Amino acid sequence: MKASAGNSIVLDNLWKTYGSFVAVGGVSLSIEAGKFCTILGPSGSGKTTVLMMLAGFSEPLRGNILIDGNDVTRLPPQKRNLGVVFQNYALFPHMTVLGNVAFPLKMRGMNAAEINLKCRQMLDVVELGDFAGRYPGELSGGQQQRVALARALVFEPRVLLMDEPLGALDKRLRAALQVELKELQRRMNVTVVYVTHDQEEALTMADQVVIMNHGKIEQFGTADDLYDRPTTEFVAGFMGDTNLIEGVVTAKGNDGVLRVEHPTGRTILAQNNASSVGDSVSVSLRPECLALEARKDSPTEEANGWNGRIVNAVSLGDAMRYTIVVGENRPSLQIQLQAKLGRRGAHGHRFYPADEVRLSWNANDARVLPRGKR
Amino acid sequence: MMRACCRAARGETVSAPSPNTEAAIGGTRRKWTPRITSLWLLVPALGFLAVFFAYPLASIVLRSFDGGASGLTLEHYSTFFTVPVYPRILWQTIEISLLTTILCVLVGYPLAYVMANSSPAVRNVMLLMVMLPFMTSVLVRTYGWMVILRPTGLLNHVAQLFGLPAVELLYNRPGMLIGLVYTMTPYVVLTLYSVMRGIDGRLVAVARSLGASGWSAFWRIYFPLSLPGVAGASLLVFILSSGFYITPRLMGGDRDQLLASIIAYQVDVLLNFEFASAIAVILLAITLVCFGIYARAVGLKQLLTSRT
Amino acid sequence: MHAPPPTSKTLKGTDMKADKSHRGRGISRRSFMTHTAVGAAALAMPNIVRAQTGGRVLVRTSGGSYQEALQQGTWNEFTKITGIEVIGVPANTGKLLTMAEAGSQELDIVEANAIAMLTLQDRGVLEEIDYSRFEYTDVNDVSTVEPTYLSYCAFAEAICYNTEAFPDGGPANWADVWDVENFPGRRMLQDAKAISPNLEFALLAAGVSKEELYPLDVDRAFDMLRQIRPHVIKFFDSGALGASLLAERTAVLGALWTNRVEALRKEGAPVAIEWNQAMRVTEYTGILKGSPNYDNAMRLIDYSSSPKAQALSLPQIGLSPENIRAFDHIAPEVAAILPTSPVLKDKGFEQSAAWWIANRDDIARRWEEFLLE
Repeated sequence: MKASAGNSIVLDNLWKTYGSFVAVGGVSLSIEAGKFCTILGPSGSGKTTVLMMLAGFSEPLRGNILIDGNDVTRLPPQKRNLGVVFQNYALFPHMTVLGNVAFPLKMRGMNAAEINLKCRQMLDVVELGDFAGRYPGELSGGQQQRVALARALVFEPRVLLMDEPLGALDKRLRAALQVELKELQRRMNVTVVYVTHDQEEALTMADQVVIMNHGKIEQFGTADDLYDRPTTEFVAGFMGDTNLIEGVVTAKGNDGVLRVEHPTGRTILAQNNASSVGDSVSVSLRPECLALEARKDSPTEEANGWNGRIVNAVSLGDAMRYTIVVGENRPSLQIQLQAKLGRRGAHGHRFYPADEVRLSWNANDARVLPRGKR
Repeated sequence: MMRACCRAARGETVSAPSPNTEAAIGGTRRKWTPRITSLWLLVPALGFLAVFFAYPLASIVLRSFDGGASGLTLEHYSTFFTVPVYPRILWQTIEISLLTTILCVLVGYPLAYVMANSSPAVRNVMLLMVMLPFMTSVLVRTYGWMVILRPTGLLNHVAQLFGLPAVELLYNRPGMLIGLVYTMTPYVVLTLYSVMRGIDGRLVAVARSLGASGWSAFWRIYFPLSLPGVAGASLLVFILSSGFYITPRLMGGDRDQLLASIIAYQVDVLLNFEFASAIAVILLAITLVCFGIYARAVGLKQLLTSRT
Repeated sequence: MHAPPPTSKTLKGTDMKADKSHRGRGISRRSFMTHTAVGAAALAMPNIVRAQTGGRVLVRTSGGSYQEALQQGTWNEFTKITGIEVIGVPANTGKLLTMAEAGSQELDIVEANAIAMLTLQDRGVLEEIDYSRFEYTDVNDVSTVEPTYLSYCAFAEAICYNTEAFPDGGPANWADVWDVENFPGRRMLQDAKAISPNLEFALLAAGVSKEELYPLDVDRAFDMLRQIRPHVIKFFDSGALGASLLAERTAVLGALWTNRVEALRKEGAPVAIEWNQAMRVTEYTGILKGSPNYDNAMRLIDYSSSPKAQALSLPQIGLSPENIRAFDHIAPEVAAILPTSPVLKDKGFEQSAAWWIANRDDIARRWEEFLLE
């Protein structure tokens, strides 16, 4: 872990329990200043609890929280100087837009003229200059969220915490706001901690992604890291779709390529991280990494080159998703795989159910993962 | 009626229909007649109201103008307002009801707040404790208080044990207020509780994250949002205590005469039903005035829906 | 005496005795009675004699222990003799008046205080009583007999005090009650809301003789009340409250209805009555116009006014018979606490219902003003 100098936020072995339920079990994390960090996880994974401890709404059982090098673990929320945005916007319904945005400045004892100026500027930034006199109930969801954002940023906090802020909006508005938000974050150079369960949202905006599950961090890295080089089955499955193929490591090459044998005897060549010969593993193979070729006869199967048959074809608009069955003679030893192919370009050929195909992949696209408990 | 109400409440929201749509809706509603048959479903309820509410009320109002042989008369009302003692009792009734209301809100607000903002287990225990008094009669509860408060009662025994001076808390105004506040506070707690449960707790959290201290977040955010509940609870308590009879009669002092006890006196002892009816109508008028003030200040919708 | 009709169910005397010996049971029944609808109670009570053949008669009472005493001492026997079922209808005076005015067919006999009775008389809802049909009662023995009503019983309001507070003897007259130096302690007097305020006692305390009370000198009476007021913890507005003030020693002397004081004394409370200058209040009985069971009502009024019926029921609850011959059947020690008994009658005086009816509205206002002072 890096020293706190370049880090805006450091979480050091945070624990939080509710009775016997461990909501957060030893989370350590450093977030660089000015970065957009997304905490991603299914509901109940502890991601919101981490955010609430960061904000000061909830006190950790153990561990420390450092913001800009200062220990804020026992500091009340109003002394942490953080902006917080909630999914339901949490606008004060009895105050106008201006009143909402002015609130944090009033709390800081700023004079009225300065408050007015700052609020106007901030409302212009979020393009709500004309709505200052409206009440939250008179605004659309997107407008309300922009007010919440303006309110959380107007006092120029170093850190902005967001809890599923776009969850209540429809898909198109969400996409537009994601871009706006990212742009705003860059412009104001604020560190953002963004909690979501939507992996696509995480990929769109985040510089750093933390994946949490069962109160622990599964993996921390850039979006590409997590997508291309997942370290656990959970991460591989949570960050997009993947095929998980079970097997046992039978050989290890010098180039880091492992030979994994499936119970049917088929072999897979895949990238390793830490597994060794004899380990029971899963191989993660992204659907879009599979190549399909039509075949007439049954050529010999080899490593990363199997014979299969299309059993289902679904159009995704820009791509096709095929379900392929390998080794269909013996149902108990079948392998079912998903493949995703663009509808145009080099592999633009379209397949239909019952088509016989040859499927293959690059060993660099297949990741060997320790077998999780199922 | 619900529709009209919603529309009015939305006011000038962005999604409010344009005048044209408004007219269109009005047009379709006029053609709604076939469904009039469903109004028959209201007949039992209306019948019940007519028999047990409208009829007795109308007969009381009529009776208050009954001059016997001389036909209709305002005599009972003029008696009420010209004999100085009755306006004084009317004013005293308002005064005591207001005092009770204020005390009840002061006692009930913190209780409701703790209840609305604590764990389900604590909340349920508190809810039970608040509801429990409703399960015994007012009379029994009042006698319970009398046993505690009377000069030779429990409170003074305990005070004596600790060498404290005896306190006079029965048959005087403080005693009556104790009884009234005790009886009325559950109504305040339950009314406020339902409003407070509707307040988004994250608003206070957000206020704190924005730099407000706990105290300031409460006063600037939570309290204003709970005001409709305070207003509703106050209205309820004021109306209930302005007509309350048993507790003031048993625990109050001789000076604490209220309209309700005058009504009972006129009916039970003096058998002057006409004058009693006039006082009852005046009491009703006060209630309606309160209601009117509330409706203008807060809106009746707030009484029916406790959402914020 | 008539023989009981064959269909009537009779009550065995042993049941009654058993009931009396079990105080707790009696009390629980009493409270039960007050809360139960009349019809249901009539069906459920084992000690109510029921008979259908002779028809029925409905009597307004003040309910509670009063009605129970009538049931046991008068009505059961009456039903046995006549086969007429008696149904008590508990109602306060206000309700009674409403029922009578509405021409209710649910009531035959009313039994009420003088004010209520005279109000009913004024409104013309009382039926003439045919005294020539009386067979159990000699009307000459009854103290007040009018064409539409006759006196039935009396109770008294008298000086009461806590014997422990005054071991050397309590107040002997109302002047003593007003004497806060020789008789210190918190006092209790009656509120106008319980029939009438104690104007008579105030005047007696001022030295007016009981023979010269009426018409009351109202100003002087209120002056006297003003004088004693700082020592009055509460003007009680119901007998129950008055009794609890005395029993709990919230007040140690004052005015209270003698039957209430007697009940407390029987329960062991250290309380006593001073019969001197006691005020009697009379209760009357009559038949409502349009009575659905007039003949039965006539028979019951006759029977209830008889010496034996009065002797058997009224003293149980501290009420005093208006039929003077009733005392022939009452033991001397019981008569000693009954205000119309030959030994006590001359010590006290009778409240003038006529004066109160004429002046009650004025007094009511003056009383309210007095209270607010």
